[in-house]
Amino acid sequence: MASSATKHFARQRLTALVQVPLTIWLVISAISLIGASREDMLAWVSTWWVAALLVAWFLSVPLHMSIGIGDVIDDYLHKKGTRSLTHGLNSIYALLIGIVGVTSVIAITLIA
Amino acid sequence: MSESAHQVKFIPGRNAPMSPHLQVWKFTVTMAASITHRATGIANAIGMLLLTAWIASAAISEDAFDAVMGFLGSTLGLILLVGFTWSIMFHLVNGLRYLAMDSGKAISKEAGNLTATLAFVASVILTGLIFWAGFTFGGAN
Repeated sequence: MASSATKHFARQRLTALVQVPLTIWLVISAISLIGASREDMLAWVSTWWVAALLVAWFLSVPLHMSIGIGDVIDDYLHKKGTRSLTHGLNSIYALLIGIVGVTSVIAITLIA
Repeated sequence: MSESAHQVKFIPGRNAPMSPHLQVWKFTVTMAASITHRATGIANAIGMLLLTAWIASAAISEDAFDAVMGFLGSTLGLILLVGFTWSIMFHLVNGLRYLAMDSGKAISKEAGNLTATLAFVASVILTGLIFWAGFTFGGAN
């Protein structure tokens, strides 16, 4: 793409578009899972298409939130050191959410 | 990045512009929607801890899953869930508004004010519907 700014802009919109249907689906699923036992939960997560959509969710969301929070950091933190440090923490947090989420989904498909 | 001869150097904390200005502003509903979009975005990122804990605990053990479900079903857990749900709903609806605006739709002042107001109203209605559905159809009762 033309520049890193264009890529940044496009990625934020692309992940947003992906997350609209995924979030609606996840909210409805969560409602239907209220009061579910761990076994019900494992059976649901390990359904192949549910696992695939959850992995898509745990890849898209960390990217979207790291870009969004990165923008907030750029707007409000002006000291170079603090800004760089916060950008680093933001990336680590997004990576952790993504890794734990994807790993959990894969682990469930293996144990269920 | 290419270095041009007339490039203006902005030094953060010295001459870089602040966005948005923190002292000079007036209340508009579009401004409120913009600030709320950022605030809910940050809240959603923190709320991902709950969602990730939910999936991860199911992967870990029966005890871990029961602990997370017990917490989410407690008074504090339910308050957090209502807040997280509203935060997601606002960010979702207002995000759709921004996607429409990015494609050139509803960008007049009137349309912007109307859709911003609708985003606030819709987010509250959707949150209400979700919890109504949860307590009616879910296994919570």
